[in-house]
Amino acid sequence: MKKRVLVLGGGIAGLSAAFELSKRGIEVDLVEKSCYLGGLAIGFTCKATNKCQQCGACLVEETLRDVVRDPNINIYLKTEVEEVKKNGKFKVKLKKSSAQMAYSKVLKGFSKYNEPYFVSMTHERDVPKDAVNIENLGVNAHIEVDAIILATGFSPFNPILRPTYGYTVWKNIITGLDMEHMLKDNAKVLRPSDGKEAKKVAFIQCVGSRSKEFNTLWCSEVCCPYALRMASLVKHKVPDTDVWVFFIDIQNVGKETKAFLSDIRSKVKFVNAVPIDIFCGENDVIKVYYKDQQENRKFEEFDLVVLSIGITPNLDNKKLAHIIGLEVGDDGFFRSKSYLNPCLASKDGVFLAGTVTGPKNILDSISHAKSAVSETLTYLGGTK
Amino acid sequence: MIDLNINTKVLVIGGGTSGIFSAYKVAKQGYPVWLLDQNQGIGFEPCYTAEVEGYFDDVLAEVKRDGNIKIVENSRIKRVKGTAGDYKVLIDIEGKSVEVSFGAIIAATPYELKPIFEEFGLTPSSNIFSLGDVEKLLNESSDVSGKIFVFLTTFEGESNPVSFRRILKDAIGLRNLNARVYIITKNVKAASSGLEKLILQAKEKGVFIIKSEDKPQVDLDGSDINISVTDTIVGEKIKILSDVVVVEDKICSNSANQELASLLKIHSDLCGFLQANNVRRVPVFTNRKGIFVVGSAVGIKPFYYVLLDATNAAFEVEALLGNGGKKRIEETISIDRDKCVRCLTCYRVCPHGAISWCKDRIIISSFACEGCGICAAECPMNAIQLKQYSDDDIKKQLYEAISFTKEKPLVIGFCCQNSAYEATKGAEKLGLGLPDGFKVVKVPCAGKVDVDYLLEALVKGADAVVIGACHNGNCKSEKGNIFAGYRVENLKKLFDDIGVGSDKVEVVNVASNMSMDFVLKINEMFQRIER
Repeated sequence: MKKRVLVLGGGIAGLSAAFELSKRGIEVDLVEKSCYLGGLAIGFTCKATNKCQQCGACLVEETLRDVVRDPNINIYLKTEVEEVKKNGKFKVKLKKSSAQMAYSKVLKGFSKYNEPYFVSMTHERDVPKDAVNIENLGVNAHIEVDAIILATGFSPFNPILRPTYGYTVWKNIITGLDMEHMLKDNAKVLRPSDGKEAKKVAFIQCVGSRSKEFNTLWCSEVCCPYALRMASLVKHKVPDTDVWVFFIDIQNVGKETKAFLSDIRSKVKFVNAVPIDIFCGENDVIKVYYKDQQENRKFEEFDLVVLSIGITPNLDNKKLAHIIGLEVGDDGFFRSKSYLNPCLASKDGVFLAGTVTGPKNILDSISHAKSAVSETLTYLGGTK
Repeated sequence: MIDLNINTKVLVIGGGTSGIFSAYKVAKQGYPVWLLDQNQGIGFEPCYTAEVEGYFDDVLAEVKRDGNIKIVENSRIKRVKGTAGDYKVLIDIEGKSVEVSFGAIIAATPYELKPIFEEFGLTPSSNIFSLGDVEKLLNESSDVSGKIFVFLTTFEGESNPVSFRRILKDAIGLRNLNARVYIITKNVKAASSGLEKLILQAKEKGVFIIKSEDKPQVDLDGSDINISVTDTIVGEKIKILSDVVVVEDKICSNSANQELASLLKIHSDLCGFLQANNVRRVPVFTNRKGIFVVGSAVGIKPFYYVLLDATNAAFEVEALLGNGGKKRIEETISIDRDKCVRCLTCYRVCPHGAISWCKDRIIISSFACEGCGICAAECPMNAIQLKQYSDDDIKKQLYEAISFTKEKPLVIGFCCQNSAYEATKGAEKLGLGLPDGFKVVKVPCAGKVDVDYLLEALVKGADAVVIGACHNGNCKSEKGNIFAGYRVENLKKLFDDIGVGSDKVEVVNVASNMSMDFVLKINEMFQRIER
C-alpha cells in the first residue's frame, strides 16, 4: 500500500518536499491556497551579471517544472485545509480557498513559464489560450494521509506599516519584491512613474526587520543578499547608474562572501544610517532624509527607492496552528520540537519545511525541505 | 545493460561536528560507516559548543558506542579510485596502508579556528586572549569583577554569525561575572536564528557594541592596553584603557581540503571550502556522483544547517545505495573503440570523474556520467556518443529546423536544456516576441555543442548561430558554458581571419526563468544581422 503525504504550501519548500517525496515512491497531495504554484520565489529574478550570483531563483522554476510533470503529485490550487483529525492517520478536510486574489496580481506572480497552470478571469485581456478560469479552481474534499509537511512559507513585511517611507503614496518607492518582478518581467530598471530608466537608485535595508517597534526581533537574513545582488545587477546592466545602500549592518552573502562584498563595496555607495523620512519632490524624484555621523540632517535625491522588506511569519500561522494542533512561538514562527531535529513539529507526524520556522533563503529552504522529507520517511518506517 | 556491484559501506571524512553528525545520521539509515579523523580523537569545534552545549554529549557517546560506526583515528587518504557505488580508497592508518571499498563518500572536514592576534599586531599573553581563553576563565568562574574586556572581530575579512554568537555568549558570561565588556566590530552579524535576540540581551546586560569602519589601534604599555577606535555611528574617536583584549577566532576551511579535493576530484570554492560555489550543488552534492559534502566542509554554517546537511547527505546516500548488491543500469554513453586513439582528452575534460582507463582501454561509467556531452564534443576523433543526444539526433533537429523555415534571417539557437531551452519555451508560451527566424535545437548542455554543429548550421543556410548557455557558475557540469565560450571565441577569430565576420556566432548566457531577458538579447542580435 502506497503511503500518502499532504504537503501544505506550493512555494519552493513545498515544491521541493513534494518532488522529493514522489521520487521516493510516496503519493503526494500538494495543497496551495493561492491559484498558482511557486510561491513568492517564483516571481524572483535571475541576478546573474557576467556570472551567476547564486541566488537560486532558477531552481524554483526547475522544481516547479518537475512537480507539474509528476503524475504522483496531486495538485490542489486555491484550496486550503479546514480541519485535521488524527487517528493514526490524518483525516483532512479541504475546502475551496476564500483567499481573495487580485486578478492582475495573479497573472503577475504566477509561474508563467514551463508548463504552468494558467489562471485568469475570462474578461482579462492577453489571456493565454490554455488559461483556466479562476472561478473553477479550488476543491472541497476529504483526504486521508499518513503524514503532513507544513511548508506554508512567510508573509513579506508590509511597508505600509511604516508610513514615513511612503510606500504606495509615492510612485517611485517600491519594495524589493516589486524590484524582483520588474527585473524578471522587463529585464530593465525603470521608474514606475514614467517608465524611464532609473539613473540613481537607493536600497533601504532592514525595512521591518530587527525592529522592536514591529515585534520583529530577527534579522531576515535574505535582504542584504538580495539587495546587494540586485545592486550588482543594476550596475552590470547600466554601469553609470548611481547606487546607494542605506544599512544598519551588512550581512554575509553566500559562500564566497568576502570576495562578493569587496567587489560590491567598490561599486556602490554605502551609508550606515536608517533614513528618517522620505518625500517626493518635483518630477517624482524621491528625497531621502537621513542623519550623518555629526547628527546633521542630510538628504539625497533618487529616481527609484527600493525598500528591502523582510520576512515575517505567515499571517495564517495562528489559524493553521489551531487547525493542525500545533504551537506557534512568541515570534509567530513554528517551533521544532527538538534542537537536534529542526524538521519535527510539536505533533507526531507533522513536519516543518522552509520559512515556517524562520527566515531562510531559497537554497536553505530546499535543504530544509529535503531534510523534512527524510524525517517524514523515517516516521513512515522507510520505503525500502 | 551494465551490471554494477553496489557497496553499502560509507566513508565519512572528518572527526569534527559535521563528520560526527554525518556518521550518526548515516548509521541511523542502517549503513556501516568508517569515520576518518586526521587527528587523535573526534570532537566538536568550540564555535558550535557555545551554541548547543548539552545536546552534544549524548550524540558523541552514541557515535562512539554504535557498532555500525568504526572510528579511525590518525588516518589520511592516499588515493581514491573507482566511481559511485564502489570507490576504492587507499587509507593510511598510523603508517599502515589499507585499501577499502566504499559505496559513497561524505567529505565533512572540520573547521580550523585561528585566533586573529596578528591582525592587530598582538601575541597571546596573560592579557591577550583568544575566545578559548575566555571560555576557560568562564568555566573556572574566575574573579573578573570590574575588569575591562575588549573583544575585537576581524577588520580584514568578514566576521560571521557563527563567530558572533560565540562572542556574544562569552561577553554575556563575562558580564554575569561583573566584568565590563566591549565588542568592537565592523558589522554586527545578525543573520542567524535567535541571534538578534541574543544581541539585544547582551546590550541589556550592559555589553557595549562599538561599530567602526577602521581597524582599532591596540597599543601595549606594560600591562596596560590602550585601544583607540573611531565609532562610525557617533563619528568620534574613542579610547579604552582595557585589562584584557580578546580576538575573534577566524573560522577557516580545513587546510587538508585542497589535497582532498584533488584526491576526490571534486571542486572547491575561493575560500578553500569543498563544493563549487554553484547553486546546482545544493545542498550536499558535488560534481561527482556518490561524493557528498557536509557543513564545515562546505562553508561557514550555523549548527542548524550542519544538522540539515548531515540529514540530507544520509538521505542521498540511502537513495544512491539502497540495499546494495547487484544493480542493472542502462548504458547511456558509448565509445567507439576503432576511433579512440587513447589521447585521454575525455578523461581530462569530464567534470564528473566518470572516465577512467584500464590498461589501454578508456572506460566511461554510465552510472557516474551526468550526460553533459562535454567529452563527446571535445573528443578529437568523434569517438564518443551519448545515447540520448547523439550527433545524429542533434543534426536531425538541426536539419528539421532549417528545412521547415522560410524566414530570413534564420538564426539557429543551440539551447541548453537547463536554461536557454526553458527560456524559449516560456517566451513562446507567453508570446514575448521571439523572432520567427529563430529556431531552437535542444542540447543537454552548452558543452555538448560541437564546432561541427555550428559550421553545419551556417553551411546549410543559417545566417547566424547562437549557443544558449547557463551563466558562468551555474552550469550543472560546471564548465559546459566555458567550453562553449572557448569554441565560439576560436570560431570568431577564424571567421575574422577569413573575412566572414565574427558576429555570425555568439554565446548568450541566460537563466531558465528569464524569458524576457533572452528575448531582448535575441532581438538585439537580429537587429544587428539585419543591419
